[in-house]
Amino acid sequence: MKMRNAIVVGISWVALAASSVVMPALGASPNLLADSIAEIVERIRFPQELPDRVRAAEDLATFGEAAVPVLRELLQSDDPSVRDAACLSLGRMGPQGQDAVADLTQIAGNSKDPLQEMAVYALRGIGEPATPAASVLGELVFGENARLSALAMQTLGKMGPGAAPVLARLLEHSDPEIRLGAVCALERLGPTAAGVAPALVRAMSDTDRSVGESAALALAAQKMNSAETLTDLLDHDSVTTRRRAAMAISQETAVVEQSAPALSDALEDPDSVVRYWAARALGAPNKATPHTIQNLIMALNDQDADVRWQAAASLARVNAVDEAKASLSKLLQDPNPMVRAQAERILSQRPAG
Amino acid sequence: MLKHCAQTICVVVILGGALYFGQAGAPTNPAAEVASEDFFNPSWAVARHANDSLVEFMQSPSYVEFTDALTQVNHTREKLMQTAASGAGDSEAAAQEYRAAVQRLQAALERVKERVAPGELSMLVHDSAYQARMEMNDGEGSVPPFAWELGPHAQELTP
Repeated sequence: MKMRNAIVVGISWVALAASSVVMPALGASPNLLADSIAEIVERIRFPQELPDRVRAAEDLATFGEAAVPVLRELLQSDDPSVRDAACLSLGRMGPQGQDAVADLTQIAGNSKDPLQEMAVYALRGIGEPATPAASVLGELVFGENARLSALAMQTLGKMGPGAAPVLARLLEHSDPEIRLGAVCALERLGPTAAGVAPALVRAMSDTDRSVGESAALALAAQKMNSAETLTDLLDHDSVTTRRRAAMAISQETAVVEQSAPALSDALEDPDSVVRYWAARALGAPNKATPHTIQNLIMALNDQDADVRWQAAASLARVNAVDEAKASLSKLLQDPNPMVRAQAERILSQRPAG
Repeated sequence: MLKHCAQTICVVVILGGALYFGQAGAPTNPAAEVASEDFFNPSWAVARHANDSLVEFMQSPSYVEFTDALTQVNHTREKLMQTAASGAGDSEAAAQEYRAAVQRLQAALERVKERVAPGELSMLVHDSAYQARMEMNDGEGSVPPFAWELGPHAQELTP
Protein backbone atom coordinates (compact mmCIF):
# COMPACT_ATOMS: atom_id res chain seq x y z
CA MET A 1 0.00 0.00 0.00
CA LYS A 2 2.81 2.33 1.02
CA MET A 3 4.56 1.50 -2.23
CA ARG A 4 1.42 2.33 -4.26
CA ASN A 5 1.03 5.66 -2.48
CA ALA A 6 4.66 6.44 -3.14
CA ILE A 7 4.21 5.69 -6.86
CA VAL A 8 1.10 7.87 -7.05
CA VAL A 9 2.90 10.74 -5.32
CA GLY A 10 5.89 10.29 -7.56
CA ILE A 11 3.77 10.40 -10.71
CA SER A 12 2.00 13.51 -9.46
CA TRP A 13 5.30 15.23 -8.86
CA VAL A 14 6.54 14.31 -12.29
CA ALA A 15 3.34 15.62 -13.89
CA LEU A 16 3.56 18.83 -11.88
CA ALA A 17 7.19 19.35 -12.74
CA ALA A 18 6.62 18.54 -16.39
CA SER A 19 3.86 21.10 -16.57
CA SER A 20 6.10 23.76 -15.02
CA VAL A 21 8.77 23.07 -17.58
CA VAL A 22 6.59 22.51 -20.62
CA MET A 23 3.99 25.20 -20.03
CA PRO A 24 6.15 28.16 -20.99
CA ALA A 25 7.02 26.53 -24.27
CA LEU A 26 3.40 25.56 -25.00
CA GLY A 27 2.10 29.01 -24.33
CA ALA A 28 1.29 29.60 -20.71
CA SER A 29 -0.67 32.70 -19.80
CA PRO A 30 1.31 35.83 -20.82
CA ASN A 31 1.41 37.21 -17.27
CA LEU A 32 2.75 33.97 -15.82
CA LEU A 33 5.34 33.84 -18.59
CA ALA A 34 6.42 37.45 -18.05
CA ASP A 35 6.71 36.90 -14.30
CA SER A 36 8.85 33.81 -14.80
CA ILE A 37 11.11 35.53 -17.30
CA ALA A 38 11.43 38.60 -15.08
CA GLU A 39 12.33 36.38 -12.14
CA ILE A 40 15.11 34.68 -14.14
CA VAL A 41 16.38 37.99 -15.52
CA GLU A 42 16.81 39.17 -11.93
CA ARG A 43 18.96 36.10 -11.29
CA ILE A 44 21.08 37.08 -14.30
CA ARG A 45 21.46 40.67 -13.17
CA PHE A 46 21.99 39.92 -9.48
CA PRO A 47 23.10 36.34 -9.01
CA GLN A 48 23.61 35.04 -5.49
CA GLU A 49 26.65 33.14 -6.75
CA LEU A 50 28.38 33.20 -10.09
CA PRO A 51 27.19 29.74 -11.25
CA ASP A 52 23.63 30.88 -10.62
CA ARG A 53 23.98 33.36 -13.48
CA VAL A 54 24.88 30.54 -15.85
CA ARG A 55 21.98 28.44 -14.60
CA ALA A 56 19.64 31.39 -15.03
CA ALA A 57 20.88 31.91 -18.60
CA GLU A 58 20.21 28.29 -19.36
CA ASP A 59 16.76 28.50 -17.74
CA LEU A 60 15.93 31.53 -19.82
CA ALA A 61 16.88 29.67 -22.99
CA THR A 62 14.10 27.15 -22.33
CA PHE A 63 11.54 29.91 -22.89
CA GLY A 64 12.59 30.15 -26.54
CA GLU A 65 11.57 33.13 -28.62
CA ALA A 66 9.44 34.53 -25.78
CA ALA A 67 12.69 35.40 -23.99
CA VAL A 68 14.44 36.94 -27.00
CA PRO A 69 13.22 40.55 -26.52
CA VAL A 70 14.54 40.64 -22.98
CA LEU A 71 17.78 38.95 -24.01
CA ARG A 72 18.29 41.61 -26.68
CA GLU A 73 17.90 44.22 -23.94
CA LEU A 74 20.45 42.39 -21.80
CA LEU A 75 22.90 42.48 -24.72
CA GLN A 76 22.92 46.27 -24.31
CA SER A 77 23.71 46.10 -20.59
CA ASP A 78 26.73 47.95 -19.16
CA ASP A 79 27.69 44.84 -17.23
CA PRO A 80 29.78 42.50 -19.45
CA SER A 81 28.79 39.52 -17.31
CA VAL A 82 25.13 40.14 -18.01
CA ARG A 83 25.83 40.43 -21.75
CA ASP A 84 27.88 37.25 -21.55
CA ALA A 85 24.93 35.44 -19.96
CA ALA A 86 22.61 36.78 -22.67
CA CYS A 87 24.90 35.38 -25.38
CA LEU A 88 25.04 32.06 -23.59
CA SER A 89 21.27 31.94 -23.36
CA LEU A 90 20.80 32.80 -27.04
CA GLY A 91 23.38 30.21 -28.05
CA ARG A 92 21.60 27.54 -26.05
CA MET A 93 18.25 28.50 -27.53
CA GLY A 94 19.06 27.39 -31.07
CA PRO A 95 17.07 28.68 -34.08
CA GLN A 96 14.50 30.34 -31.81
CA GLY A 97 17.06 33.04 -31.11
CA GLN A 98 16.73 34.25 -34.70
CA ASP A 99 15.45 37.74 -33.80
CA ALA A 100 18.70 38.50 -31.99
CA VAL A 101 20.91 37.76 -35.01
CA ALA A 102 21.35 41.43 -35.97
CA ASP A 103 22.42 42.39 -32.42
CA LEU A 104 24.83 39.47 -32.19
CA THR A 105 26.26 40.20 -35.63
CA GLN A 106 27.03 43.75 -34.57
CA ILE A 107 28.90 42.51 -31.49
CA ALA A 108 30.69 39.81 -33.51
CA GLY A 109 31.91 42.40 -35.98
CA ASN A 110 33.36 44.69 -33.32
CA SER A 111 36.93 43.65 -32.56
CA LYS A 112 37.00 45.94 -29.53
CA ASP A 113 33.99 44.31 -27.91
CA PRO A 114 35.08 41.79 -25.25
CA LEU A 115 31.95 39.81 -26.05
CA GLN A 116 32.98 39.23 -29.66
CA GLU A 117 33.73 35.52 -29.20
CA MET A 118 30.59 34.90 -27.13
CA ALA A 119 28.50 36.52 -29.85
CA VAL A 120 29.97 34.15 -32.42
CA TYR A 121 29.27 31.28 -30.06
CA ALA A 122 25.64 32.41 -29.84
CA LEU A 123 25.37 32.70 -33.63
CA ARG A 124 26.74 29.17 -33.93
CA GLY A 125 24.02 27.95 -31.58
CA ILE A 126 21.30 29.71 -33.56
CA GLY A 127 22.56 27.93 -36.67
CA GLU A 128 20.95 28.38 -40.09
CA PRO A 129 18.78 31.41 -39.17
CA ALA A 130 22.06 33.22 -38.40
CA THR A 131 22.97 33.17 -42.10
CA PRO A 132 22.75 37.00 -42.41
CA ALA A 133 25.88 37.09 -40.22
CA ALA A 134 27.88 35.13 -42.82
CA SER A 135 29.75 38.08 -44.22
CA VAL A 136 30.96 39.29 -40.80
CA LEU A 137 31.94 35.74 -39.87
CA GLY A 138 33.87 35.42 -43.12
CA GLU A 139 35.95 38.45 -42.11
CA LEU A 140 36.62 36.86 -38.72
CA VAL A 141 37.84 33.67 -40.38
CA PHE A 142 40.44 35.73 -42.24
CA GLY A 143 41.40 37.51 -38.99
CA GLU A 144 44.51 36.95 -36.90
CA ASN A 145 42.79 35.45 -33.86
CA ALA A 146 43.09 31.72 -34.61
CA ARG A 147 40.59 30.67 -31.97
CA LEU A 148 37.97 33.13 -33.17
CA SER A 149 38.73 32.20 -36.77
CA ALA A 150 38.08 28.51 -36.06
CA LEU A 151 34.88 29.30 -34.17
CA ALA A 152 33.64 31.52 -36.99
CA MET A 153 34.38 28.75 -39.49
CA GLN A 154 32.40 26.26 -37.44
CA THR A 155 29.54 28.73 -37.34
CA LEU A 156 29.59 29.24 -41.10
CA GLY A 157 29.42 25.46 -41.49
CA LYS A 158 25.94 25.51 -39.96
CA MET A 159 24.52 28.22 -42.17
CA GLY A 160 22.14 28.20 -45.09
CA PRO A 161 22.60 28.83 -48.82
CA GLY A 162 23.06 32.56 -48.22
CA ALA A 163 26.51 31.79 -46.81
CA ALA A 164 27.66 30.11 -50.04
CA PRO A 165 29.50 33.16 -51.51
CA VAL A 166 31.40 33.65 -48.25
CA LEU A 167 32.29 29.95 -48.11
CA ALA A 168 33.48 30.11 -51.72
CA ARG A 169 35.78 32.99 -50.79
CA LEU A 170 37.21 30.93 -47.92
CA LEU A 171 38.46 28.38 -50.46
CA GLU A 172 41.32 30.87 -50.98
CA HIS A 173 42.30 30.83 -47.28
CA SER A 174 45.91 29.92 -46.51
CA ASP A 175 44.95 27.36 -43.84
CA PRO A 176 43.97 23.99 -45.37
CA GLU A 177 41.75 23.25 -42.34
CA ILE A 178 39.69 26.33 -43.13
CA ARG A 179 39.54 25.42 -46.83
CA LEU A 180 38.40 21.93 -45.92
CA GLY A 181 35.76 23.33 -43.57
CA ALA A 182 34.45 25.59 -46.33
CA VAL A 183 34.36 22.77 -48.86
CA CYS A 184 32.51 20.47 -46.46
CA ALA A 185 29.98 23.21 -45.70
CA LEU A 186 29.40 23.72 -49.43
CA GLU A 187 28.96 19.98 -49.90
CA ARG A 188 26.32 20.01 -47.16
CA LEU A 189 24.48 22.84 -48.93
CA GLY A 190 24.44 20.79 -52.14
CA PRO A 191 22.45 22.20 -55.06
CA THR A 192 21.23 25.13 -52.93
CA ALA A 193 24.73 26.66 -53.02
CA ALA A 194 24.37 28.51 -56.29
CA GLY A 195 27.21 30.11 -58.19
CA VAL A 196 30.07 28.39 -56.39
CA ALA A 197 30.99 25.88 -59.12
CA PRO A 198 33.95 27.90 -60.50
CA ALA A 199 35.48 28.22 -57.02
CA LEU A 200 35.00 24.50 -56.40
CA VAL A 201 36.61 23.63 -59.74
CA ARG A 202 39.64 25.71 -58.73
CA ALA A 203 39.69 24.03 -55.32
CA MET A 204 39.76 20.62 -57.00
CA SER A 205 43.41 21.22 -57.82
CA ASP A 206 44.20 22.21 -54.22
CA THR A 207 47.62 21.04 -53.08
CA ASP A 208 45.98 19.53 -50.02
CA ARG A 209 44.57 16.18 -51.07
CA SER A 210 41.60 16.24 -48.68
CA VAL A 211 40.57 19.70 -49.83
CA GLY A 212 40.89 18.79 -53.53
CA GLU A 213 38.94 15.57 -53.24
CA SER A 214 36.28 17.11 -51.02
CA ALA A 215 35.90 19.98 -53.48
CA ALA A 216 35.16 17.44 -56.19
CA LEU A 217 32.56 15.81 -53.96
CA ALA A 218 31.03 19.20 -53.16
CA LEU A 219 30.74 19.86 -56.88
CA ALA A 220 29.07 16.48 -57.42
CA ALA A 221 26.68 17.25 -54.55
CA GLN A 222 25.29 20.02 -56.74
CA LYS A 223 23.87 17.15 -58.79
CA MET A 224 22.56 18.14 -62.22
CA ASN A 225 23.82 21.70 -61.79
CA SER A 226 27.36 20.43 -61.97
CA ALA A 227 27.02 17.37 -64.24
CA GLU A 228 28.25 19.19 -67.32
CA THR A 229 31.19 20.78 -65.50
CA LEU A 230 32.31 17.48 -64.00
CA THR A 231 31.90 15.72 -67.34
CA ASP A 232 34.13 18.31 -69.02
CA LEU A 233 36.74 17.83 -66.29
CA LEU A 234 37.15 14.18 -67.33
CA ASP A 235 39.06 15.63 -70.27
CA HIS A 236 41.21 18.00 -68.21
CA ASP A 237 44.97 18.19 -68.82
CA SER A 238 45.73 17.56 -65.16
CA VAL A 239 45.59 13.90 -64.22
CA THR A 240 44.76 14.86 -60.61
CA THR A 241 41.71 16.80 -61.76
CA ARG A 242 40.57 13.94 -64.02
CA ARG A 243 40.94 11.47 -61.14
CA ARG A 244 39.01 13.66 -58.76
CA ALA A 245 36.27 14.34 -61.30
CA ALA A 246 35.81 10.63 -62.04
CA MET A 247 35.79 9.82 -58.33
CA ALA A 248 33.20 12.49 -57.58
CA ILE A 249 30.94 11.42 -60.45
CA SER A 250 31.04 7.83 -59.20
CA GLN A 251 29.62 9.03 -55.86
CA GLU A 252 26.58 10.74 -57.40
CA THR A 253 24.19 8.55 -59.36
CA ALA A 254 22.31 11.56 -60.76
CA VAL A 255 25.51 12.79 -62.42
CA VAL A 256 26.56 9.37 -63.75
CA GLU A 257 23.67 9.23 -66.21
CA GLN A 258 24.63 12.47 -67.92
CA SER A 259 28.34 11.65 -67.81
CA ALA A 260 28.02 8.08 -69.10
CA PRO A 261 29.42 8.69 -72.61
CA ALA A 262 32.40 10.61 -71.21
CA LEU A 263 32.93 7.94 -68.55
CA SER A 264 33.00 5.29 -71.29
CA ASP A 265 35.75 7.30 -72.99
CA ALA A 266 37.52 7.65 -69.65
CA LEU A 267 37.89 3.87 -69.56
CA GLU A 268 40.65 4.49 -72.11
CA ASP A 269 42.35 7.24 -70.11
CA PRO A 270 46.14 6.80 -69.90
CA ASP A 271 45.89 6.92 -66.10
CA SER A 272 44.79 3.69 -64.39
CA VAL A 273 43.18 5.51 -61.44
CA VAL A 274 40.91 7.47 -63.80
CA ARG A 275 39.99 4.22 -65.57
CA TYR A 276 39.28 2.58 -62.20
CA TRP A 277 36.87 5.34 -61.11
CA ALA A 278 35.20 5.41 -64.53
CA ALA A 279 34.60 1.66 -64.29
CA ARG A 280 33.20 2.08 -60.79
CA ALA A 281 30.91 4.95 -61.84
CA LEU A 282 29.54 2.97 -64.78
CA GLY A 283 28.34 0.33 -62.35
CA ALA A 284 25.54 2.63 -61.19
CA PRO A 285 22.33 0.60 -61.37
CA ASN A 286 19.96 1.18 -64.32
CA LYS A 287 22.32 3.61 -66.03
CA ALA A 288 24.03 1.25 -68.45
CA THR A 289 23.57 1.46 -72.20
CA PRO A 290 24.74 -1.21 -74.70
CA HIS A 291 27.67 1.10 -75.51
CA THR A 292 28.62 1.34 -71.82
CA ILE A 293 28.40 -2.41 -71.38
CA GLN A 294 30.60 -2.94 -74.41
CA ASN A 295 33.22 -0.57 -73.00
CA LEU A 296 33.12 -2.27 -69.61
CA ILE A 297 33.64 -5.65 -71.31
CA MET A 298 36.68 -4.21 -73.06
CA ALA A 299 37.94 -2.94 -69.70
CA LEU A 300 38.09 -6.57 -68.52
CA ASN A 301 41.30 -6.73 -70.60
CA ASP A 302 42.82 -3.64 -68.93
CA GLN A 303 46.47 -3.93 -67.95
CA ASP A 304 45.65 -2.78 -64.40
CA ALA A 305 44.27 -5.49 -62.10
CA ASP A 306 42.06 -3.09 -60.14
CA VAL A 307 40.41 -1.86 -63.33
CA ARG A 308 39.70 -5.44 -64.49
CA TRP A 309 38.37 -6.28 -61.04
CA GLN A 310 36.15 -3.17 -60.92
CA ALA A 311 34.88 -3.60 -64.51
CA ALA A 312 33.75 -7.12 -63.60
CA ALA A 313 32.00 -5.80 -60.47
CA SER A 314 30.25 -3.09 -62.47
CA LEU A 315 29.10 -5.51 -65.17
CA ALA A 316 27.53 -7.64 -62.46
CA ARG A 317 25.90 -4.59 -60.94
CA VAL A 318 24.26 -3.55 -64.21
CA ASN A 319 23.09 -7.13 -64.82
CA ALA A 320 25.25 -7.59 -67.91
CA VAL A 321 26.90 -10.86 -66.90
CA ASP A 322 25.30 -12.73 -69.81
CA GLU A 323 26.73 -10.32 -72.38
CA ALA A 324 30.12 -10.46 -70.67
CA LYS A 325 30.20 -14.19 -69.99
CA ALA A 326 32.96 -15.04 -72.49
CA SER A 327 35.27 -12.26 -71.27
CA LEU A 328 34.52 -12.96 -67.61
CA SER A 329 35.35 -16.63 -68.18
CA LYS A 330 38.77 -15.58 -69.48
CA LEU A 331 39.37 -13.79 -66.16
CA LEU A 332 39.28 -17.20 -64.46
CA GLN A 333 42.86 -17.51 -65.76
CA ASP A 334 43.87 -13.98 -64.72
CA PRO A 335 47.35 -13.63 -63.20
CA ASN A 336 45.91 -11.74 -60.21
CA PRO A 337 44.20 -14.02 -57.67
CA MET A 338 41.68 -11.36 -56.58
CA VAL A 339 40.56 -10.83 -60.19
CA ARG A 340 40.15 -14.58 -60.62
CA ALA A 341 38.13 -14.73 -57.39
CA GLN A 342 35.94 -11.86 -58.58
CA ALA A 343 35.21 -13.59 -61.91
CA GLU A 344 34.49 -16.85 -60.15
CA ARG A 345 32.10 -15.20 -57.71
CA ILE A 346 30.23 -13.31 -60.43
CA LEU A 347 29.91 -16.29 -62.78
CA SER A 348 28.76 -18.57 -59.98
CA GLN A 349 26.05 -16.09 -58.95
CA ARG A 350 24.71 -15.82 -62.49
CA PRO A 351 21.12 -17.11 -62.59
CA ALA A 352 20.73 -20.46 -64.38
CA GLY A 353 19.38 -20.38 -67.94
CA MET B 1 10.20 23.28 -1.97
CA LEU B 2 7.65 20.96 -3.59
CA LYS B 3 8.20 22.66 -6.90
CA HIS B 4 11.96 22.24 -6.68
CA CYS B 5 11.64 18.54 -5.81
CA ALA B 6 9.20 18.01 -8.64
CA GLN B 7 11.47 19.77 -11.07
CA THR B 8 14.43 17.68 -9.98
CA ILE B 9 12.47 14.45 -10.47
CA CYS B 10 11.26 15.65 -13.84
CA VAL B 11 14.75 16.52 -15.00
CA VAL B 12 16.05 13.13 -13.84
CA VAL B 13 13.24 11.31 -15.66
CA ILE B 14 13.67 13.33 -18.87
CA LEU B 15 17.45 13.06 -18.85
CA GLY B 16 17.31 9.38 -18.03
CA GLY B 17 14.92 8.77 -20.90
CA ALA B 18 16.96 10.88 -23.27
CA LEU B 19 20.13 9.03 -22.31
CA TYR B 20 18.47 5.62 -22.55
CA PHE B 21 16.78 6.20 -25.88
CA GLY B 22 19.61 8.33 -27.22
CA GLN B 23 22.05 5.52 -26.53
CA ALA B 24 19.99 3.01 -28.48
CA GLY B 25 20.05 5.02 -31.67
CA ALA B 26 23.37 6.76 -31.27
CA PRO B 27 25.86 6.28 -34.10
CA THR B 28 28.97 4.44 -33.04
CA ASN B 29 32.48 5.64 -33.68
CA PRO B 30 34.36 3.15 -35.85
CA ALA B 31 37.73 4.52 -34.79
CA ALA B 32 36.85 4.13 -31.12
CA GLU B 33 35.55 0.63 -31.70
CA VAL B 34 38.71 -0.62 -33.29
CA ALA B 35 40.95 1.32 -30.90
CA SER B 36 41.30 -1.63 -28.56
CA GLU B 37 42.41 -3.95 -31.33
CA ASP B 38 45.98 -4.92 -32.01
CA PHE B 39 47.74 -2.05 -33.76
CA PHE B 40 49.62 -4.33 -36.13
CA ASN B 41 46.95 -6.89 -36.73
CA PRO B 42 45.41 -6.54 -40.20
CA SER B 43 42.11 -7.76 -38.76
CA TRP B 44 41.44 -4.15 -37.63
CA ALA B 45 40.69 -3.49 -41.26
CA VAL B 46 37.34 -5.23 -41.02
CA ALA B 47 35.13 -2.32 -41.89
CA ARG B 48 32.07 -3.06 -39.84
CA HIS B 49 30.55 0.31 -40.57
CA ALA B 50 31.47 0.48 -44.21
CA ASN B 51 29.05 0.75 -47.09
CA ASP B 52 28.59 -2.04 -49.61
CA SER B 53 31.07 -0.74 -52.18
CA LEU B 54 33.70 -0.35 -49.48
CA VAL B 55 33.15 -3.88 -48.20
CA GLU B 56 33.46 -5.04 -51.80
CA PHE B 57 36.66 -3.01 -52.18
CA MET B 58 38.22 -5.08 -49.43
CA GLN B 59 38.36 -7.94 -51.94
CA SER B 60 40.14 -5.80 -54.53
CA PRO B 61 43.72 -6.44 -55.69
CA SER B 62 45.04 -3.17 -54.25
CA TYR B 63 43.48 -3.62 -50.84
CA VAL B 64 44.60 -7.23 -50.53
CA GLU B 65 48.10 -6.12 -51.55
CA PHE B 66 47.93 -3.52 -48.78
CA THR B 67 47.02 -6.05 -46.09
CA ASP B 68 49.72 -8.43 -47.37
CA ALA B 69 52.27 -5.62 -47.23
CA LEU B 70 51.20 -4.73 -43.70
CA THR B 71 51.58 -8.34 -42.60
CA GLN B 72 55.04 -8.37 -44.14
CA VAL B 73 56.01 -5.22 -42.23
CA ASN B 74 54.90 -6.83 -38.98
CA HIS B 75 56.79 -9.99 -39.80
CA THR B 76 60.06 -8.30 -40.74
CA ARG B 77 59.80 -5.93 -37.80
CA GLU B 78 59.44 -8.84 -35.40
CA LYS B 79 62.38 -10.58 -37.02
CA LEU B 80 64.48 -7.44 -36.71
CA MET B 81 63.60 -7.01 -33.05
CA GLN B 82 64.51 -10.62 -32.33
CA THR B 83 67.82 -10.22 -34.15
CA ALA B 84 68.55 -7.00 -32.28
CA ALA B 85 67.61 -8.50 -28.91
CA SER B 86 69.58 -11.71 -29.26
CA GLY B 87 72.59 -10.17 -30.98
CA ALA B 88 72.72 -13.27 -33.16
CA GLY B 89 72.14 -13.18 -36.92
CA ASP B 90 72.60 -10.52 -39.55
CA SER B 91 70.88 -7.44 -38.17
CA GLU B 92 71.77 -5.34 -41.22
CA ALA B 93 70.07 -7.83 -43.52
CA ALA B 94 67.02 -7.88 -41.23
CA ALA B 95 66.94 -4.08 -41.23
CA GLN B 96 67.09 -4.01 -45.03
CA GLU B 97 64.28 -6.52 -45.26
CA TYR B 98 62.22 -4.36 -42.92
CA ARG B 99 62.91 -1.18 -44.91
CA ALA B 100 61.90 -2.92 -48.13
CA ALA B 101 58.67 -4.08 -46.50
CA VAL B 102 57.93 -0.53 -45.34
CA GLN B 103 58.48 0.81 -48.85
CA ARG B 104 56.14 -1.81 -50.27
CA LEU B 105 53.56 -0.83 -47.66
CA GLN B 106 53.86 2.85 -48.56
CA ALA B 107 53.26 2.07 -52.22
CA ALA B 108 50.31 -0.17 -51.38
CA LEU B 109 48.76 2.46 -49.13
CA GLU B 110 49.13 5.04 -51.87
CA ARG B 111 47.22 2.76 -54.27
CA VAL B 112 44.45 2.26 -51.72
CA LYS B 113 44.19 6.00 -51.07
CA GLU B 114 43.73 6.64 -54.76
CA ARG B 115 40.91 4.13 -55.00
CA VAL B 116 38.66 5.07 -52.09
CA ALA B 117 36.55 8.18 -51.73
CA PRO B 118 37.35 10.73 -48.99
CA GLY B 119 35.86 9.61 -45.73
CA GLU B 120 36.03 5.97 -46.71
CA LEU B 121 39.72 5.65 -45.93
CA SER B 122 39.32 6.14 -42.19
CA MET B 123 36.73 3.38 -42.18
CA LEU B 124 39.09 1.14 -44.07
CA VAL B 125 42.36 1.90 -42.37
CA HIS B 126 42.82 2.10 -38.62
CA ASP B 127 43.41 5.76 -37.78
CA SER B 128 46.60 5.26 -35.83
CA ALA B 129 48.06 2.86 -38.37
CA TYR B 130 47.19 5.36 -41.06
CA GLN B 131 48.85 8.11 -39.09
CA ALA B 132 51.95 5.97 -38.70
CA ARG B 133 52.12 5.41 -42.44
CA MET B 134 51.66 9.11 -43.04
CA GLU B 135 54.58 9.87 -40.78
CA MET B 136 56.68 7.47 -42.78
CA ASN B 137 55.58 9.19 -45.93
CA ASP B 138 56.77 12.51 -44.58
CA GLY B 139 60.23 11.02 -44.66
CA GLU B 140 61.67 13.33 -42.07
CA GLY B 141 60.98 14.95 -38.77
CA SER B 142 59.52 11.96 -37.03
CA VAL B 143 60.41 8.38 -36.33
CA PRO B 144 57.80 5.83 -37.36
CA PRO B 145 55.95 4.64 -34.26
CA PHE B 146 57.00 1.06 -34.62
CA ALA B 147 60.61 2.09 -34.95
CA TRP B 148 60.32 3.85 -31.58
CA GLU B 149 59.88 0.51 -29.98
CA LEU B 150 63.27 -0.55 -31.30
CA GLY B 151 64.99 1.87 -28.95
CA PRO B 152 68.63 2.35 -29.99
CA HIS B 153 67.86 1.02 -33.47
CA ALA B 154 65.22 3.64 -34.16
CA GLN B 155 67.59 6.08 -35.81
CA GLU B 156 68.99 3.64 -38.31
CA LEU B 157 65.46 2.69 -39.35
CA THR B 158 64.15 6.18 -39.87
CA PRO B 159 63.24 6.39 -43.55
